[in-house]
Amino acid sequence: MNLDLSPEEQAFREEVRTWLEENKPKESQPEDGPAMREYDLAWQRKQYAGGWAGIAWPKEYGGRGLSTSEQLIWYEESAKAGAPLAGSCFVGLNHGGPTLIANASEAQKTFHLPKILKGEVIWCQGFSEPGAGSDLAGLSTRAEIDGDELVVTGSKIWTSYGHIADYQELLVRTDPTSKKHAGITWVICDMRFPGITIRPVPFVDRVHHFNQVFYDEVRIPISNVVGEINGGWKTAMSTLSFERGTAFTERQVSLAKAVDNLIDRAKTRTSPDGKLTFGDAEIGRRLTRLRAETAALRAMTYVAVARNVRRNAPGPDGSMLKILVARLGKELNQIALELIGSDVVLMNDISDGYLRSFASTVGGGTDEIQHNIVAQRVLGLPRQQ
Amino acid sequence: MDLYPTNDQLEIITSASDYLSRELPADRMPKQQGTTPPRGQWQGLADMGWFGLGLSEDAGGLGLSVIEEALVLREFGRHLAPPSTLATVLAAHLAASAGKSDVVEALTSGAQRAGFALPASNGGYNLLDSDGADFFVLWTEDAGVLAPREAFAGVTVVRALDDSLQAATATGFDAGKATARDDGATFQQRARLLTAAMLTGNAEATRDLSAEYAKTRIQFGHPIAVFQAISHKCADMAVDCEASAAILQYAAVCVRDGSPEAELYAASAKYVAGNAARNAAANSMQIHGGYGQTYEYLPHFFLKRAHIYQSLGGGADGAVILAAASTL
Repeated sequence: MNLDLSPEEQAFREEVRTWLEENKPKESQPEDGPAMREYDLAWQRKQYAGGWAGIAWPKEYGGRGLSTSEQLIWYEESAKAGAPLAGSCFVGLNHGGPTLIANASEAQKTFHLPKILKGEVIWCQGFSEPGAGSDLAGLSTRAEIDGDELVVTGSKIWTSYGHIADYQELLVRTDPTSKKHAGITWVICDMRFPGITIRPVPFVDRVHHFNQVFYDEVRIPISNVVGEINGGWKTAMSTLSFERGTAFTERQVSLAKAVDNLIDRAKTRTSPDGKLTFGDAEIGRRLTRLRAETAALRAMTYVAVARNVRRNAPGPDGSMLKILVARLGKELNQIALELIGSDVVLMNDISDGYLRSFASTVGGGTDEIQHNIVAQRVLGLPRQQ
Repeated sequence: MDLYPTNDQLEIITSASDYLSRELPADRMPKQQGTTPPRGQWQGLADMGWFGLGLSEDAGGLGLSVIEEALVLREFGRHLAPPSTLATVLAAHLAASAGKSDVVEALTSGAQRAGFALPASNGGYNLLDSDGADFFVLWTEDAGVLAPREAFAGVTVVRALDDSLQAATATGFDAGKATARDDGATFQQRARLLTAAMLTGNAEATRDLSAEYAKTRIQFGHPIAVFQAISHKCADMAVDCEASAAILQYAAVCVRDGSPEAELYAASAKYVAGNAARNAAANSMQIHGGYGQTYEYLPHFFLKRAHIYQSLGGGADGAVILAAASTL
């Protein structure tokens, strides 16, 4: 066991640090819309030009072909430098891309992967439906096979950045007679295909982030199917596992930075009666626990990486990381909110962050579903009733 | 960078786990009579070299690091080994750093052993695992002190929270009779780390015990594990154990390397594992229903030990965690 960087890793870290310092965007990331699209794609293009895109992706599709530890170093340095998160590029880089690498045909990989890395396209996700949330396998968006096309009719929801995306990873039901997990197909949908309409679904703070997407006999070439027809569940599960893998590193480092900032703020802040909030035993205890658990989260990330290197595929570690990162993020936002006292009645960065933090135990698989996964896959408990 | 045990370390874990499952299975506890670890049992642990694992060979140890010590003590925690095992490991370090090689020899060979002395709420001292203890480790936020039994005055045997251990109270302590004293940060870090190891093993054993019970206890025609009210408590234990074990390993590397992160990570490891162990044991008592309220089942032993280990060190962990320099 060691935490030492090899000379190569050390050199890599130095190089990343210098590059980020010189190249990270000066302007802050727009919240939504075409401005966000332009900003995120420009940042991705810059990273690609600098040789920093797809660090752990295969070389033949434009990646660097390096190991998970270099990827981890990049995420850590990026978060430390305060460089922007992937934003609207997240799905392409962390879901769509990895799924294509694992499951797609050569033609699909050659066409799509370089576009994602070069910052030419935005991807979105079409998994959840109004009637299929946690019970994802209950999805009913129908795809009829007509010659060499799928004809898709139905609706998807919680589609982040769907209104500014080029492509969608879409799950459809190709066999309505088969049981739930069977009969689902994973297909690449071009968001400009005729028959697609998009309705914005405002987030709690009214930012336009979510969408509902409607499909009215949208014709998608069968050549866009990734994996087997009716084999989409298997393809989709590799995506979700990636989401629960090392993709949390940036959030974990940002969280650790935010916790240290919060402790500094708490040390100097006084409540309306003039007492130091830091002297408040409850706040002190909560900050202590938050800092200790944030340190544990970092260690967990390293352990998960060490295990992934050995078994070559993500295990249930990602669900445990997700449970902890979401719990700590919510606690951070709650403490921050308590420290601003009556400013809670105003919409500001702190109150907005607090409102947004609730989504962290829902998006990407609810906290309850993650607990089911841990119970079954870590502890070997039987399936839930 | 690799936070995974080496093959040698995996072998040490396996040999400790095999030995303890055979010689010190946790389910011995409800039937145990008396409060002194049997002579033969104690000698067996000493013969495995576990009381001098992290001491240099010159100092009479096996010359391994604090990482191996932590990995073995985690197994001790799983098997409800008495707190005197942790005390004896720390005592040998205190004696070694004071150059008391005869005391090191007596402790690592199994001839003598140590218990813990804790400052009591009435100004005196609580002595724990005192039956047959030749020395006591008095670990406060300022220092680690090793003192012989005769340094304590007015010793009266009382009942311990955990009936498998002997407790005593002492009215006075003569610091002048101490064998060794270590005011250094390294002692505090090692002591926090190794206590975290006992707590991590404790939490992990509680997790496994609870999952096993949930799989086999049938109600309403199903194992109770199919109900989320039960399985999600178990899943929380799994997440807490994962966090405790991960930070234990991270902190162990930091302490071995003398890294600037050692202060934050060793204190956080004890804090996180302490919460994990207490919460797991409390939930385990609930999952075990009526049986969880009896002396015959194991959850209460893990709960009592969790409180014991959490109370060691003078309660300074929180202040250390908040004051430690940022490592970002």
